[in-house]
Amino acid sequence: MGAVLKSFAHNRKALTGLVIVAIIVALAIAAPWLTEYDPTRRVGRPHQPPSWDHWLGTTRIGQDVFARLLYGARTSLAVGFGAGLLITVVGTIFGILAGYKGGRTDEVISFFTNMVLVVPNLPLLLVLAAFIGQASPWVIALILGATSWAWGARVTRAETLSVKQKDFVKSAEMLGEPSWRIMLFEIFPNVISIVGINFVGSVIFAVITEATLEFLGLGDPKTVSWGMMLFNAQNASALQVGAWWDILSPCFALIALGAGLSLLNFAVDEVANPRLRTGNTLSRWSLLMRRGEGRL
Amino acid sequence: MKPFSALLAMTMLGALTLPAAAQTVLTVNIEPATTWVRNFNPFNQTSARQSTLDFIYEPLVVFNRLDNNKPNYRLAESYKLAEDLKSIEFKLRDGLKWSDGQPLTAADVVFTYNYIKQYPALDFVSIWQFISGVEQVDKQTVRFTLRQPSALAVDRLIALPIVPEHVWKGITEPVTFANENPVGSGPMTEVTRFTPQTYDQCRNLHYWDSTRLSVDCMRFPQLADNNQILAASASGQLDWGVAFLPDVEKTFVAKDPQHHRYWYVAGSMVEFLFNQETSNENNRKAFRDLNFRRAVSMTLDRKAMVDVAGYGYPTLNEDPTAFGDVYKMWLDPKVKAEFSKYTTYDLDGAKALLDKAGYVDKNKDGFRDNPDGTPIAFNIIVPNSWSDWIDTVQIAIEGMREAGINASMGTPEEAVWSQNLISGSFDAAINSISVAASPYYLYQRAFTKADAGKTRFTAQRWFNEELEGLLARFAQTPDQAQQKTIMNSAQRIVAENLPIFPVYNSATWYQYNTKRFTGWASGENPFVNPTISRQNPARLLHLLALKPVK
Amino acid sequence: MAFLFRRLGFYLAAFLAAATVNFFLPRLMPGDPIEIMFSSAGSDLSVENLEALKLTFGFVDGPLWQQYLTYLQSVFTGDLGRSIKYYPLAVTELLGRALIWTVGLMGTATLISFTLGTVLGIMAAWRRGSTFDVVFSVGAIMATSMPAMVLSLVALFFFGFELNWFPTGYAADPALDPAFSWQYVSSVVRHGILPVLTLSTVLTGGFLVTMRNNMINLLGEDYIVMARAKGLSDSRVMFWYAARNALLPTVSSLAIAIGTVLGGSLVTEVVFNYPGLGNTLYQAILARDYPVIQGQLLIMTLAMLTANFIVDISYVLLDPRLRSA
Repeated sequence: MGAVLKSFAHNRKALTGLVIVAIIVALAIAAPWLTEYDPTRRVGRPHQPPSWDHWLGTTRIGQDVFARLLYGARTSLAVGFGAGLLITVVGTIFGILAGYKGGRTDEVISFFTNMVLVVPNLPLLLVLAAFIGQASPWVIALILGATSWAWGARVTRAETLSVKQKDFVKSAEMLGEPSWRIMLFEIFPNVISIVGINFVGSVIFAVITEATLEFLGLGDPKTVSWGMMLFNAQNASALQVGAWWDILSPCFALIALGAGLSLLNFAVDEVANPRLRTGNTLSRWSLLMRRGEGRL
Repeated sequence: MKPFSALLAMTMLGALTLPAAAQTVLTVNIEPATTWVRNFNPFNQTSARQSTLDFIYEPLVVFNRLDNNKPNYRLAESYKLAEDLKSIEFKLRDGLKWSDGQPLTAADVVFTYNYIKQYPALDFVSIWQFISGVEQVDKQTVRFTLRQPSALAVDRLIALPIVPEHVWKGITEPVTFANENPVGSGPMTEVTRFTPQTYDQCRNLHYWDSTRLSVDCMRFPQLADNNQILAASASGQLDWGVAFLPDVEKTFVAKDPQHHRYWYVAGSMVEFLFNQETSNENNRKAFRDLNFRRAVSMTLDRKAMVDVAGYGYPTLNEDPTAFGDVYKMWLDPKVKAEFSKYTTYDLDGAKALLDKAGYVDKNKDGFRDNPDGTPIAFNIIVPNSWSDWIDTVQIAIEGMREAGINASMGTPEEAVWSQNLISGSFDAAINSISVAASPYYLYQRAFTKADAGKTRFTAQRWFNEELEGLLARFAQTPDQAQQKTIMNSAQRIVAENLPIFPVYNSATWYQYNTKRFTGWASGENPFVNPTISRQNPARLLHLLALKPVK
Repeated sequence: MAFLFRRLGFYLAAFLAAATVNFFLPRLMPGDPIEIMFSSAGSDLSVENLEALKLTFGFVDGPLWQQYLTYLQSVFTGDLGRSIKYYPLAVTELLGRALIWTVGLMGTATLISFTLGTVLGIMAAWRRGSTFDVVFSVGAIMATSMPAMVLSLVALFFFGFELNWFPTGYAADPALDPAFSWQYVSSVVRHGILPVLTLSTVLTGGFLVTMRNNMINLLGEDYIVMARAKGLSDSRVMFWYAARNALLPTVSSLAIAIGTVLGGSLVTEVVFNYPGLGNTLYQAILARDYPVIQGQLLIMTLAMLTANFIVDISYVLLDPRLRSA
């Protein structure tokens, strides 16, 4: 573990990614000190271009774009990390259980995993969000967690299968260790890189999906988030009326967060697999992303 | 014009009408859609093309609201209400023909109404709750008998289309019938081209009023949403449009200041309201107190709602009577002078009124409470996809909170919002009532006790026997001067009690392009309501006024 | 063979499950779906009018199991009902209209991104660690992490509105009738360029990284090392020996990608007003047009299952170990 962390620290991509994400997190946390404006209130005339008073201009009804961007980062990050954590935890538990236990357990879990995988998940998400109506960020995070764990489970299961054959697991079994201990202390640390990639990947996926659902008008209009900013700006035809700051601000915020997270993910993969020996988790992840991207 | 002429030549091959050179095409947008579906069923209110009524099926009469509600006789040449107000006779013009050349007679009218009775799903204005019978008097005359004596029968009876008996008598499933090749009585009955992305509706060769009609074809390009419509309007492709365009001066007019114009007439009245019968006991106490209602109404920054939430397009409505610009000829200035202080933005006045009435912060949570100390807190519900209304509510909440009232926004699905208004399971809401021939309909829709729980217009659940009595008398008074006296008393009751808080009248969208056509109605020449939306039968009169530019 | 039969059984079960979810989803949500549907589709209808309409459209309230059985029957007979918003269009026809455009759009984009991603991936792997590799593989991952709407909006703004190079909507000039004429076909191409470009940008990354990593894994294999030692030219080793083998896993992922094609590319189609399946689904969701939503989800599931089954078959053909399993 120590060596992994060390090589991680020496990886330029990892550092860049980490810095970008850290800056965004810091800005989100420091929002009340960085802006005097309430993100939900009208504080200026409609659609004012960027100025000293409003660094990123104002929205269609006169809210401060910079304030909304800062407070919106809180939502986007919270949903991203919350849903990402949920997806990863569920996927990891199912993956290790199925991989290690085998037999009936494996059959049942694998059946469900495969089932979730073949049912088109993103349109389903869209439909779910639409039916629930005014889906708050937390509802979106929950739906994401409930429907998107299958890839992680499948990848973790495959990795568990190979770790299971290793000598240290065999010897632990010989010593009569309970299986939960083996899974937690022998298997889990050895699939941690997969879990890491799964986690960062899921965060990106959750950030994008939340923003997309909101952009399509399926979010809660009271939410201050990057997706709702895009939706409101698009609704007000911001590009057509020349209010580029209204729509490009959340665009670039999303690009920055996506870039930071993907650099991190890339680095985790490189550090964990000097010769990518784990069977291309990252490429599988990027396929998962594409499944989503192409559709949404 | 070039691509058009090539295309016209193609259209001509299919349609055996006038020579290509003489064709004038009016490009129009009524409804956003992702694909056109060939459905011209005039009884279908959900999926038929919105160019069906008026343009394919000519009304009996069209009332011109912008010209003192003057009747413009169309299929009918006159109508006559019986002395006892229990029946009404329409006399059709002589020599009317359907677009297939068959004669149009009173028998068709009788058939249509009996047909609707047989298939209630077609009866989109519930006419058979209003009339009890229909009979043919002679070849040109038809008589309706009314269930209740009414001076307003004609308003109702002209909303439904008249269909040809010889076509529709064979249709046994009229609700699902798509009527792909309509036989109609209006100016534009011939569908000469129909693809998922565009369709043309052309001149009826048997149209009775064809000398006044200068447009040969109307073309409907498929446009999916406001941004697409904006692009089509800005490029000068559309002649006549009905869409919300953001920042219209900049995005549309500025692209061709000489030809691109718009004119937004006041439309439906938008209001805030409190549910007098809400299940929340503490809120109910406040909502039923006139002082509280008046104070809340004074916290509404109506001007900001118009300018900011509505881009300045709506018309300010500071009338305690709720009449606004739409019914201003009915307004009693004395009533307005006496009560308009309660419908004008005045935060200090609102605070003073609340203080005086005992609404102060007793539990020190930062918000005012009932005089008995119980807390007041409510959600104003608004459909979650109606962004201009959401902005309006946001401005309302800012004002209320400024005055110390704990108001927040609830954003349910549109259908849930409407269900809540009907069932009464809400505290406060934003709502609207559409424009009609006279303020009678405004009050009748909002304050008829028998309608509680049936429509969203009675959502505030405030009723007044005296007012209902006045409205009933109004409906049975054919004389306009007498009607005015009755309406004066009615509006006083409403203004005094302030059961709803009008804020503005939405704009009815209307953009036009003077490059290819002239004769458009405008602010300088407001001869008719020019919006082409299907809610406006006067769109037919406007079509007839258009002339191609030489 | 047994393996294939087992998979087939699984797919049938998965399809049934999807169909069932499809049936219960609208019924579990708050509000009466039928009322929501009609109120979204039209104006304020009277109570009597609504009742009569419900009857006519066949929304008769029966016991749930009865509704379910009727539904299953219609699913297996391929009768997906009629659209509410676009009445009286049959759902199958509505989807059929959109299908052509989506297949064209997504097909082209997938083809472009597959070719581009594979070639770039091979080159990145070959020059692993070079600037080329870093720029393209990192760029690919970043492109994959960018919401499609961000790219589409920016592209639409600059190339559509500001520069006026490309049309801002539709699949073809609406004034033209579909025909195999130069005029019509060129119009289709012009309308397709922007959406295809944005989609390809987003899609290329996945193929690129997959190919690159497969190649890197293979480049260490003995036979590649042998081939290089024998003095074969770089390009020959790269394309003939390594790439051919590295391509196999990519091809199976291509099959899956094709399976998802029927979902359309919702955001891209919405932003560009492209009349494909994604846009159709979106409009149906906004209008609560249940028959269309259900039909669309079913067809997409079916396409995914078929694609997966094809992948299974190709595995059996390619990997002898599976045949006995």
